[in-house]
Amino acid sequence: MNRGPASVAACALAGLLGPAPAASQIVFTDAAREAGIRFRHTDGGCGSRWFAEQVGSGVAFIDADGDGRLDLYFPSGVPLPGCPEADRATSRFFRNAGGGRFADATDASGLGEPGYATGCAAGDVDSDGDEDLFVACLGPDRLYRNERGRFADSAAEAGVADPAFGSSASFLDYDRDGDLDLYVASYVEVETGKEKRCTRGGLHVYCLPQDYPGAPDRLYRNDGRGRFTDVTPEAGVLMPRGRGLGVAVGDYDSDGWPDIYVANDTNENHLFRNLGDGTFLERGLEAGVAVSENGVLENGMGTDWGDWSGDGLLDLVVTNFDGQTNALYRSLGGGLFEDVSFASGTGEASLPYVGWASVFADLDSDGLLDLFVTNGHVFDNVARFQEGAAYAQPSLVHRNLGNGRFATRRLDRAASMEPRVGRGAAAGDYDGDGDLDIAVSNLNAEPFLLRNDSLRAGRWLGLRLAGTRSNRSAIGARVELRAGGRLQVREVKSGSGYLSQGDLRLLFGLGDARSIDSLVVRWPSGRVEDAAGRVILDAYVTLVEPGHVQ
Amino acid sequence: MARRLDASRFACGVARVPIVLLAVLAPVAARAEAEKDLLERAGALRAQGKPAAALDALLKGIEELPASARLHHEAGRACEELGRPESAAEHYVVALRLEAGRVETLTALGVLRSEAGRLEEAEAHLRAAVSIEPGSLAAQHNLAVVLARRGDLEGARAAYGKAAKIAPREAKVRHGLGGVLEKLGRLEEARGELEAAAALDPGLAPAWYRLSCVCFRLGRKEEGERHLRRFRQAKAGQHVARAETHLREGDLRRAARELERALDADEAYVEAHARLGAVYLREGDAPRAVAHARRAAELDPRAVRYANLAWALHGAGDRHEALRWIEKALALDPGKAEYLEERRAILGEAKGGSK
Repeated sequence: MNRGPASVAACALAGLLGPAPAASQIVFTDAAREAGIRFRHTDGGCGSRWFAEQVGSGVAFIDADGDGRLDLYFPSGVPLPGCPEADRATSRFFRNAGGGRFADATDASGLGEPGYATGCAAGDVDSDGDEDLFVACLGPDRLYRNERGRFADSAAEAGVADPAFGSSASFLDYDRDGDLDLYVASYVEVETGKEKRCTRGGLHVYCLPQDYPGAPDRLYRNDGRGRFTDVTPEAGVLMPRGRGLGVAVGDYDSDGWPDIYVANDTNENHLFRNLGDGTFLERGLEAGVAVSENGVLENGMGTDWGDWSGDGLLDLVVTNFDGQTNALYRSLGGGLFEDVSFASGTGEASLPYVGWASVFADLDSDGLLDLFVTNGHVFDNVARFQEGAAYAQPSLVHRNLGNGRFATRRLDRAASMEPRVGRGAAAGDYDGDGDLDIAVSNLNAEPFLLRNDSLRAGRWLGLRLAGTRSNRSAIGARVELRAGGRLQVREVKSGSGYLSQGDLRLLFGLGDARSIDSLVVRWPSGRVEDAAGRVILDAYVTLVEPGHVQ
Repeated sequence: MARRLDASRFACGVARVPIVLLAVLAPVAARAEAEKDLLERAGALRAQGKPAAALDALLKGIEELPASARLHHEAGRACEELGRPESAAEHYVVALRLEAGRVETLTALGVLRSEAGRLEEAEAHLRAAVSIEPGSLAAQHNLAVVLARRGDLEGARAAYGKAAKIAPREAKVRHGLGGVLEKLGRLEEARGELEAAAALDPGLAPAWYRLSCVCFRLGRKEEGERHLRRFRQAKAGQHVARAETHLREGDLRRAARELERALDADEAYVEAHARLGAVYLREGDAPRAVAHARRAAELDPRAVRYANLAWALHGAGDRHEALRWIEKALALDPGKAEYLEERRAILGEAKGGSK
């Protein structure tokens, strides 16, 4: 919910009488229950501590029925070997009924098929005008094609039903042929139910990632006829040892070709630079984003691209384990990055926590990308062997101060909510009021639906891009907006953060500016459009790629 | 940024020990003697890798000599080694209450707070330490680390500079200074410091890494690539060295983890593949043993690698392939008795064949 200009005066008056949120504060209210979200994630475990249980699941904001309102999909685990069977689907789909309410539509949607679901990514893979959904699984992955709001799994026919331990995924048009390809990260090779038992000081604990071989990720090329071809080796992205958890796609070198970043757990993170000829070159170490600034391999979990520094170049974030900082990078240009975790203030705040989802989003509508991070330990019994550590940990909201630094607030203190074991998170404006809300998937618990109740006096612009020559979802499109002397760069992105899918629309807060100076859209096809004359403020506007009749 | 010089970076948790003032009535000389004995005993236990036993001894000593700041300090260190940082901090705080100007303890507590993300407190403790003893290398170095983390780059540069004056041949200090200079945009100076660090300690992987980053920023691409290779080798070498310690202790699982980490750092590190082949063979995981032995043979086509692959294949029950590879080993080193024996074993002429 956003309190616009009319309510600002009222709030200012209320501020004289009692505490009210300051204009610079980011304020969330957990609206999950009042919105009708009845869901509890399960890791599928029952005491055996199978390795897969720790990974958790993501969450997707997806407009399944094309009504302009964001629906919610929560993937979940299913009972693992030795545990009692579930009596119904564990993953759930909620249709947005408007007015801030959701209705469980799992059965009607076709998204309730059993399967140990982890990550998800959305995009219109068959160019029929609606958003399809890929779901990564422990076991064969799913590709749900959307037919007017009803989904059917076509992963096997499409050739993407990889039985590996899938984690995050993202659609991208890496060859810019106008249809969506797919990158799927895989974690480790594990035979759940036949694993070794691991102990720590005599205590039964989850095993470590290093106890399992990494599983290679997959890049699938969309052949345009409903089928995908695995092009992993020939595209140069085959990394057999990778333990991939997070994926984010963005054009970091601004050459028009989407690049791929993979956060790996205990391996080097990979930065695949798109060479524009159907192949990629791994440049993580050279770019300075593969390991910690001391050269230490870290536990990469989630990741996201976003120009938080406002210089027009995509910056990067990667979440890591406790005792490590979440790595916040600033692009230096020329394909190089600088780790500014400590200099920005985000590093110090992240040290006590195991970080997962990392989501860049302008949460206070001031035109600067803030950063939302979920936390939660991997060891359910960590308090028994690590002093000061807890399994449930608070999410962190890092507010961008615009001077290279962030101010951090713990969500439990900011919103009076008990910490849970956080995993996936996605940003999206589910109530259509022009600010970004956040959905969080919590391990073995109810999710958070964090309604953004921050004060916003300024104006905003929402864009829904529809490709014609480009892929229909316009994934990979870059929009540059100038307003009030500030440059804002956003890209339409599929799966990112951690196992999750955010709003495919782009939302710009204008801060103090009353109008925009320029708005340039660079479509994935390469077409560049000055779109300033085609939009109105304080509303969502659909921009159709010019040059073709839709 | 460089990590601490202080080795005690792991936590420990402990019962609180009341300070019994009666003990201070004991004769000073006898107390000093008893303290010395206790510290020696605890030190010996820690050196034997028995921090829990060391801590027990120290806690008993503290019951007898509760006013000993040194015993509390050592108990804190033992706690850190046991992975119990909060208990360690409690001991350090008591030690400082007993002896406020204890530089060693101020430094240890500063490091502990820094690692918990409590940088403001860390800075206060470390500033106190250097004000008391400006010549303390550990205090200066760790203050520099904390200042860099707090974003006070000029302050960090100055502290690193002082540390470098105290110990100009300390590679970690030069590496830290290089890192700060890089953040300040003084890239050529950074390069000089990092080159010095790498020259002083070629096994210091972080120095090679930062040096490569600086070179890339300076447009010295080939140099950067070269330093990255050194980084990978140094990193992998560290893990292999740790694995060897675990192997000597008979801890195959931890050895395997370290060797896997070595390969995460440098997939082409032959020794890690070779050792992993042997470890997995001993653990009964023949497919992985064969995979690593095969990779070692690919990377380093020598008789010993071929023979190792033959052993792994033999262990996996693939006698035909095993024979082929032991023949290849013998072709390169015809007289080697071990290979001949393995060949006989494969052919069923003799038993054995495990390395």
